[in-house]
Amino acid sequence: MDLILNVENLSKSFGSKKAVDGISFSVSRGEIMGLLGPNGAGKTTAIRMIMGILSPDAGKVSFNFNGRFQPLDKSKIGYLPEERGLYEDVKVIDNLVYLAGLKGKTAQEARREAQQWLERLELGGYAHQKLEKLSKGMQQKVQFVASILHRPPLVLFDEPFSGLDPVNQDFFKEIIRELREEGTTVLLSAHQMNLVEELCDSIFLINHGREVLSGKLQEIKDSYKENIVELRYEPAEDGSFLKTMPGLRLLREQPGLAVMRWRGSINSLLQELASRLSIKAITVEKPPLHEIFVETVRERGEEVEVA
Amino acid sequence: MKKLKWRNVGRVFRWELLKNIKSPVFLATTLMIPLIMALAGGIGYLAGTSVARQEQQVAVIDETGDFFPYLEAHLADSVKVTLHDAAEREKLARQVQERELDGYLVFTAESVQSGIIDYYDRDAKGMNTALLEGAIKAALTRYRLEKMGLSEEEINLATAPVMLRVRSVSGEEVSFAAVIAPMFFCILLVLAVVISGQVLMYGVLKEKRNRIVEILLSSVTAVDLLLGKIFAFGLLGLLQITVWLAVGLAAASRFIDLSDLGIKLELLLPAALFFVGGYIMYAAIFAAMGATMKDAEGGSQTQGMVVLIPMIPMFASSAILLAPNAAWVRVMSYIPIFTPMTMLLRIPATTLPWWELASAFAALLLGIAFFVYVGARIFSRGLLQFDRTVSFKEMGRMLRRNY
Repeated sequence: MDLILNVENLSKSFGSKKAVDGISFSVSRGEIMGLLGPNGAGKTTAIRMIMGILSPDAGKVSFNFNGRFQPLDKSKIGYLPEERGLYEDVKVIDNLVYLAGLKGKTAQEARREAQQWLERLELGGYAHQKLEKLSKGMQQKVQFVASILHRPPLVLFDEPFSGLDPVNQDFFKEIIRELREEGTTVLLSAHQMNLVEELCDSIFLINHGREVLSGKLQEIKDSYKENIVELRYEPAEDGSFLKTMPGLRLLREQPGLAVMRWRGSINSLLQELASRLSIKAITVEKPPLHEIFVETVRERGEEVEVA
Repeated sequence: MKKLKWRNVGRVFRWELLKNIKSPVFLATTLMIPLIMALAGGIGYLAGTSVARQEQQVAVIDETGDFFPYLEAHLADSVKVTLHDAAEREKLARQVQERELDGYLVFTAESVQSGIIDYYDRDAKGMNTALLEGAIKAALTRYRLEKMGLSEEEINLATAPVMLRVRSVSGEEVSFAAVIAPMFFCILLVLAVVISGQVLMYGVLKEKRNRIVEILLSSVTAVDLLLGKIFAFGLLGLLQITVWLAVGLAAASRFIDLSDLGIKLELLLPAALFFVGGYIMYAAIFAAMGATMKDAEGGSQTQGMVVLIPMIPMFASSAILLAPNAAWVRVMSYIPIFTPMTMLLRIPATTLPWWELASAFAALLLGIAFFVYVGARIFSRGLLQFDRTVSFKEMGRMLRRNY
């Protein structure tokens, strides 16, 4: 597989607290990977180590931008930190040109492309305003532009959707998908898993600084042994046998409707249901990522961190 | 420590330079300081000249009969004297009262003997009699010597002025300006460092508070960032004192001949080196302090005290100027944090052998390397401590541990 980023056995402690505890993963070129977990799980620490802002206690981060693995080259990476900030008393365009300049882009190019981006984000008229004149939402957009203006092959977005309203969340998702279309690799972190699971090709679930689950999203879901089944049947019929059926857990029940979790083969469930009830409608799907996460953590006897 | 990228240092340097040169603080201090200095100097100058130039009208009652010409010959042009008879005393007193006269003098046979001369003024408390007193002293000496029957030659010999001329053993003269100039440079360094050091410190604090710093660190290393800032502020500081010096010298040249100041080029070069070196070292300290602060309030307390340490030689400046080669002064010259100020005071006050200049400068370079290194470590680690002020204990830990 064509990897762009490889993280091996990365660890970091602050005092006695292990923020990141020996995690390993890799990101394939051109994919969107989600680093997911609750607040305080170690996502930001991991991303800061990848970005070279913190140095790891142990482990190794290597990048492959042109055929061979090498250490960090900051100009090849775009970064949107969780804690946002730009120079407030400086014009929007000057902010963008300076930050792109630090990544090696010429002022002329940066100025032209920044203007294009701002127009695309409906901020064209604000280019020569001081940043402090813009609303919070607008500032977030400017920050987003700052992280990708130098066209990096790899971008790290730390909680890109936090603090955004739903309209802008969708808008940013659209742009992230576009980046992938253009061949950019994206590593993003989020604590609201449901928000990003549709966006990610691969995921790495983290809790207490340690790996919970990782891999291709679809494979993780497919290999998860439970399904959520929503069943509609003739309300006059008796569905009480569902309560005692082995491998089945009822989540919601009312005459003619049952929502349940089923652990086992779907074929055998369908046969059983069809023999006892007149099915009007049935949907079978994998539970959302968040539930898979919580279940997996619980099965291991750990607690989900609540920050 | 990661490899330094001079291109990034240059980019940060340019940004900081352009951003700060336009800032109101920089413009205000650059323009205000010479204005204040000019005002203070101007007031002093005016006060001094107004006394000297004002004409005084003084009446003289001379009962000796022959002293008056001696007095007249020794008085400055601004003092006009007229000779009067003893009978006119009451009239003179009235004229003094009515401000037609500034005062009147009485010379009697006894008073020229005893040397106690009576001078009557309108308001005995407010008078300035220095000019009169000097002239009377000189006139009386000559008068007495002539009465003793000495020849003109003997009198000239006896009254020849005495002046203590201080020279170093190498034959150089020490001028008054040579003592004032280093003080002046020291004050400039203190002013420049304190003002732009504060701007630098609060600039770092601001970047930390509005979180821009994490973005910057995703592009450049903390050392790139620190050096870019230090060099930018170094140049700003130089620019500032150039403006101050130019304004100061231009103003001074209206009143005095600048060549009298005794400022020599071979002193100026080492002085400038110590100035710039000191500036860079202090800037590193200020930047590191800014990185450990959470808000501006904390900065003016504990961290603010740290910046007083380099100023210690300034407080001891008169002692250093009096004994620029004392053992304790030499030791201070080699303690990097004190080196710039101590050397700035010593360079013009004494003739230093080249090896002492060179070794003190080497000490300063070591100090710069040390404080930039330590500063950079505290800087890079303190920068990500967003929510609190870093204590000195933690700073120590930062230096030892790999964050």
